[in-house]
Amino acid sequence: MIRKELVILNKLGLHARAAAKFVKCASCFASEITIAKDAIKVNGKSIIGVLLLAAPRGSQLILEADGSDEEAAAAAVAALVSDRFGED
Amino acid sequence: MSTDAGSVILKGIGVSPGVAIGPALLLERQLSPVPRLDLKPGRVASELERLEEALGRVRGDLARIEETADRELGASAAQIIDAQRLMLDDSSFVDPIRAHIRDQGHNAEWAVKETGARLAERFGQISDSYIRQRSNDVDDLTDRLLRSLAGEAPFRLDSLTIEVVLIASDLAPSDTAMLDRERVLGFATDSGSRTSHTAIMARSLNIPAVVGLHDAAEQIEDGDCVVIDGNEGRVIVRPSVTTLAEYRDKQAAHSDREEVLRRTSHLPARTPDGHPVRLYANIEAPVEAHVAREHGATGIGLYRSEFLHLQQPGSAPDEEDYYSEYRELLEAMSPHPVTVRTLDFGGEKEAPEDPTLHDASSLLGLRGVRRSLRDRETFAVQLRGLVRAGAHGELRVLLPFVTGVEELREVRAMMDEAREAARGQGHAVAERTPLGAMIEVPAAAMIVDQLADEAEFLSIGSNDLIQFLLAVDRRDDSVAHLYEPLHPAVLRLLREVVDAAARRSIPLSLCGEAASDPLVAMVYMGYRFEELSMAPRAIPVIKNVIRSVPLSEAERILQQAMLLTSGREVQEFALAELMAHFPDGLVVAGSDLRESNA
Repeated sequence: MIRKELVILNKLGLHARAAAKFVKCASCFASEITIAKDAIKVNGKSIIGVLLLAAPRGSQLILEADGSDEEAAAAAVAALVSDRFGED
Repeated sequence: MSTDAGSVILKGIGVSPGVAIGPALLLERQLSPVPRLDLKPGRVASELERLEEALGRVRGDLARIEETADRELGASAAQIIDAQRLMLDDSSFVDPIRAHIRDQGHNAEWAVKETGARLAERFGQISDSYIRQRSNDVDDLTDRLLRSLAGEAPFRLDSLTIEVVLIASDLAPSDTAMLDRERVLGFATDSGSRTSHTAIMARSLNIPAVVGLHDAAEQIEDGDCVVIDGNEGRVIVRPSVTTLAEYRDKQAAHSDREEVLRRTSHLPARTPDGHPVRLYANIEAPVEAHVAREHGATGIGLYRSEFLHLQQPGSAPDEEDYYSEYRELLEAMSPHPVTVRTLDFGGEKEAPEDPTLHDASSLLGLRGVRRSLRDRETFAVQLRGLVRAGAHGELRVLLPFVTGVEELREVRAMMDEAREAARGQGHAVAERTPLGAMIEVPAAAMIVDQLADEAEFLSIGSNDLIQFLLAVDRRDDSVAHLYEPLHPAVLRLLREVVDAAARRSIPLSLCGEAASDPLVAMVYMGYRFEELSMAPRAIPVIKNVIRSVPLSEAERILQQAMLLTSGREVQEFALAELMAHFPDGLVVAGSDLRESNA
């Protein structure tokens, strides 16, 4: 299993469009992917879960990927987040 | 049931002119109560199957809506639907529904309703107002699933059998994307504003609309006869026979006038003594471009950037959103020029439901270029979209709320950076994109010569300029009548601005409501404006004025008007002149041609 710490950089945080991109990216991998903020941990392939994290800019998240393609999955998701979801 | 005694008049905001008369179709979100049924043993498997079938139908509906939205309304509208599609297949939504049916043996409707309600409640508890509003998306999905389970077709606005007037609490992009344009006569909605989605759709479809009615959906029943008066912002429910006759006359008069004016819309806008005037349109979404062209606009003089933000509250458009919107607009208007005004929230424009913009309602606050220069990151994104789109047509960029040359210098530097950045990423960019300043603050009007050093063109924003000069906030009913485009102070200030611009040979246009009132336009013609920009619907009337009044006449009228000592005197004098030029009254006083948001 891989754990990575992520920081949300884009201005609007994990709002609907960013969440949709996150979920689509995560869903491309076979590994189980979760993200956690504070005490809440959600399925990274669930848009509802990701939205309910309500993570604004500056939030620190823990990403966990577990499975056959965990390295690639964690790298792809981390890149999307650090690229600010291509937004601003 | 339609009785004369049961007639009701509802007041709202008229956002698209004209009169529509027809039977009401309520776009209701309310469903009949969902019963809780205990399944007989052995029925669980077939109930789960029923659920899967319903999910499949909704999935198909949303896919079709997304496709249409993408085609008709652009990528940003489609992304809203896309997020909903992801929710529909989200295990946090469908798994609990399946588990509920399986474990508790209840009917699918009950399981959907319970799960949907619980989920909406969880969204409702989030402190972030934007995320909290996603509970509407959950409600919409629940609603679609319940209808599908009940064997009801979803609201199929794409296949209406009769002509209807659409009544709703609000219209969502997913509703209007599928609209049967031939059969919807008008809109009336409870919420909404002049720049809301419903308003823009109505104007682009050229059908009457009234928004902000508060409780229309409660007062009106399916099939009620309804009159929508988009000019006066009124909806008459179950009108009496006399009222109905009156509105049929108004409707006929409106369409006759539109017809006559439209037939003349291709004629050149030139005065009888040979002076051409460019008539451009003020619009706010690419879908309105064809309306502008139909009404004879030969360019866009004011494109309001706010719509893209209002489409998706809470999420700022990205560079691609801006780029594709402006490019679409330029291509729709090609080969004509397009002037895009950069973001101007605040003042009379409603701020979107974005918490970062909530302080934007003050007339004298953080508006226009001031806000852009504070939120530089956001502004840079818009500028990159602009310089890239500029490669696809004749694009000009207009800065709102300018009060000094430093603002222009700063923005020009940012534009250079945006151009370099876009180029660095391998994008084609416009070699040069003319930068202009709006003259809408008296300070700017006093330093036209200085602004001319830094700007490539100037555009008078008459609404704000008049408000600030006369110290009248039009939102305040007790002083709104003091807003006078023909006040002597306004006439003098315009004289100064026009002369200063002419001395520096800088192009000067006028955009704003004033230009769309035939009376005011006739007087202002005397300043020899070469470019006027207004609501598309006003163009044919104003063109008629220009084609009928020689420039020399307009100059005489202005000269005489400037000797008068009150706005009312000027108004009466101008009216007499107008009547003299139009004894047949082809030009009808422009009450239904105005717009309030330049």
